[in-house]
Amino acid sequence: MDCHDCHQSCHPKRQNIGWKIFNFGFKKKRPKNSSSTGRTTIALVGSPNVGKSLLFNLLTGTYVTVSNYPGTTVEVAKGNAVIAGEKVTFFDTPGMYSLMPITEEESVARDLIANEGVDLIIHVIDAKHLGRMLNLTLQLMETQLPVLLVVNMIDEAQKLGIWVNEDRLAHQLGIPVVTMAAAQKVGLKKLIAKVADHVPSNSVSLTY
Amino acid sequence: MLTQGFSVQYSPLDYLGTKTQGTIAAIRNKDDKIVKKLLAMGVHTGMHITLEQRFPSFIIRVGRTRIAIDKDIANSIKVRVISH
Amino acid sequence: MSPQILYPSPIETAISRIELLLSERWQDAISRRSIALLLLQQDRETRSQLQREPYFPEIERIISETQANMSESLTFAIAQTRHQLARAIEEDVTVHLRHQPVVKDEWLHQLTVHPLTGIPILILILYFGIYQFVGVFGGGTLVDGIEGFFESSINPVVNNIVAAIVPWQAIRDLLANDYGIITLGIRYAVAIVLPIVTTFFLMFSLLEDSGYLPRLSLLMDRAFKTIGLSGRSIIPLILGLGCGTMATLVTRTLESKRERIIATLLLALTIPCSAQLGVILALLSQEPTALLIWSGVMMAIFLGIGFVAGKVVPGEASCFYMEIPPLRLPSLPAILTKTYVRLKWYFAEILPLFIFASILIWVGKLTGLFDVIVRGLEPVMLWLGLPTEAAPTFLYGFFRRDYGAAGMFDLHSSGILTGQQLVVAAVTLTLFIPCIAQLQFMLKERGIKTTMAIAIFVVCFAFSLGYLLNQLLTIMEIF
Repeated sequence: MDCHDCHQSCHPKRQNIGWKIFNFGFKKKRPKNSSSTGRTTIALVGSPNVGKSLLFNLLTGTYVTVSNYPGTTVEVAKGNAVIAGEKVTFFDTPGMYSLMPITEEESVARDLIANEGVDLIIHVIDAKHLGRMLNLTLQLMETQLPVLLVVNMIDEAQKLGIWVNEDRLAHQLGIPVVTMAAAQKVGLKKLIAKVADHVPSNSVSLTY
Repeated sequence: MLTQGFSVQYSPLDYLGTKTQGTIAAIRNKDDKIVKKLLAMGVHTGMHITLEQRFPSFIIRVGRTRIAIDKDIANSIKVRVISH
Repeated sequence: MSPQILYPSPIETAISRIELLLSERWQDAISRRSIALLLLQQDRETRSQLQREPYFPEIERIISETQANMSESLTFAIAQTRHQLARAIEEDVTVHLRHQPVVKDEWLHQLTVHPLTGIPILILILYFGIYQFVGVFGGGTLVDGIEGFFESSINPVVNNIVAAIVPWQAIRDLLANDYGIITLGIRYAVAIVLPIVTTFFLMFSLLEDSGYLPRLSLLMDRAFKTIGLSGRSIIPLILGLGCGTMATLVTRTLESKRERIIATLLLALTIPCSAQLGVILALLSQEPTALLIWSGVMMAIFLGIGFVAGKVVPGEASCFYMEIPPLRLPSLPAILTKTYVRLKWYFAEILPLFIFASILIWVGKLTGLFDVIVRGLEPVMLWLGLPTEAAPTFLYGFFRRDYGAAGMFDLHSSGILTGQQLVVAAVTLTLFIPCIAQLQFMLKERGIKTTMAIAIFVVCFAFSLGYLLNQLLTIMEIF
């Protein structure tokens, strides 16, 4: 819907009201990419209505509106989490069907991937529409960025008599795959464990 | 597609009646964007399609997906009819 | 890394040739193969990024050569290859236990999309959901209650405390009295805007989560085509009845630039936001004829301007396609969370502007700048057949649309405005410039040129129409 309340707000400082009002025509805000913060960045992408925002809420504990209407998340939401002892930044993106955006909201996700670059793309798909949504997975894999596939809503798919073989899919695609029912938090631990594989442990950590 | 001879007939979706079922034979539109969008939503040639409603918008079912489209887009989907 | 998709050989050849041309590039986040494929599919953004490169003509030549060798479009061939692979993988990794699943909510879906049942359902939802729940309950019952509490219990206390603590009249006026930050800014935010916006967002979230909105879009598409929009636009326009600023942001979901401009214009000109709507409805409900004329005029302008804009604004006619998700029973926690997040956004964006507007009004009054502007507006008021006392309401209306409407409320209750003047003022104020926040978002989303054009048009149109309406009402002697 909007820029959500993130731990680290992507909005300019709110105190500076006068500046905000007269700052007409400011540029679209963009999340900082990984190289400038040194922190692992992970983007959640996928078609509308597959549970990205819900998953984002689970991973970061930040509330984002979860919508059953295509096109109500129109900006990138940002939230932090600690995975494998490291701070990780997650981006929740507006729905996109393919790497070629048609509406402005779709270009938001594509810009994040193609122009900013992220350390990991989590592609969230609906188990009920596996074949259709794997299209984007294949496109994302072509970018050579690391992709993790989340096959969500397996509970709904199972009600329709559809069962997805996680290992076989991972083998076929050659990327990590997690089957989930995010609404029931089924598979969340497995997902976090797989995400952790992509978080480099900071060898020059100064925490001691 | 070896079995298709010269007698193959297909018609634009907007010419068909409600409840018509068929296979998508082609997707053609002068606007490339629309073709891309349909492809991205999972509307591909060879897939089974059902026309559920014609008015006020066309409603189609392709696979397990239900999509509403306008007349112009309906016209760009060419269907080989299986049953009425 | 992972196994690659193999496209038909002419395409693979083209990919390798383009990749070679791109080999100098190092700054891209995504692979050259990916960029090459996007170019072959005529992706606009990638093209515009590479347009100035010396090798771009060479790329163009490769693409057209490849296309010449293929019987179908490149986009199509690429998508088809991917699609086939995706389907093959799906076949391989899924097990289907039942075939045609029984969809139990099918009848409900049919009821909501069939024109004979869908349109009445739509009208019922809008009537009960928006008018009764948001307008009458939120804007009437709740506002009256909270506003009354402020008027009777909070404002006098604040005024007294401020009068006791602060020795300077100017500072007293900044915090309290007629236009103070607390007595006006906070009061409006909490008493008028909060109940209306909360009830609206509750209803909107409910409609959104149930999956009804796409059905609403498909029902409205044909009608909307006549005003240059598509069914998609119904969402920002309905959202505009809640908050025009948020709606302007959501026009992003519209397909074409043309549709975005028309929707932005209609939002700026004709759609009253809930805060304004609440006050105007309360004001006009005392005069049923006035309410009838106001709604008739607003509806006519919405359709008329939409129709003309559909003809005038350049660009291709909108197309409409939308996935229709299954209807779901929304979960209460999800709706409450969503409403809460939206309210939080609304107040983070809007509340500072309320306070800022109070400060601006204070500065304007203190420096005498407002008196100058008000005096400038007075001839315009006379032109519209309004008393000169109405001038400040128009000026305040710019800071918050509902400030203006509320100002009118005071004028009417003190007997300064007649019925006819009330209608003219209400119509002109509704049409008049959107609030400062919406203007800011218009600039952000549409850019300076479009925004200036819309703003100038809106001001001229609002006053001209007010003038015409006044003349017409005078001739017809309705009041």
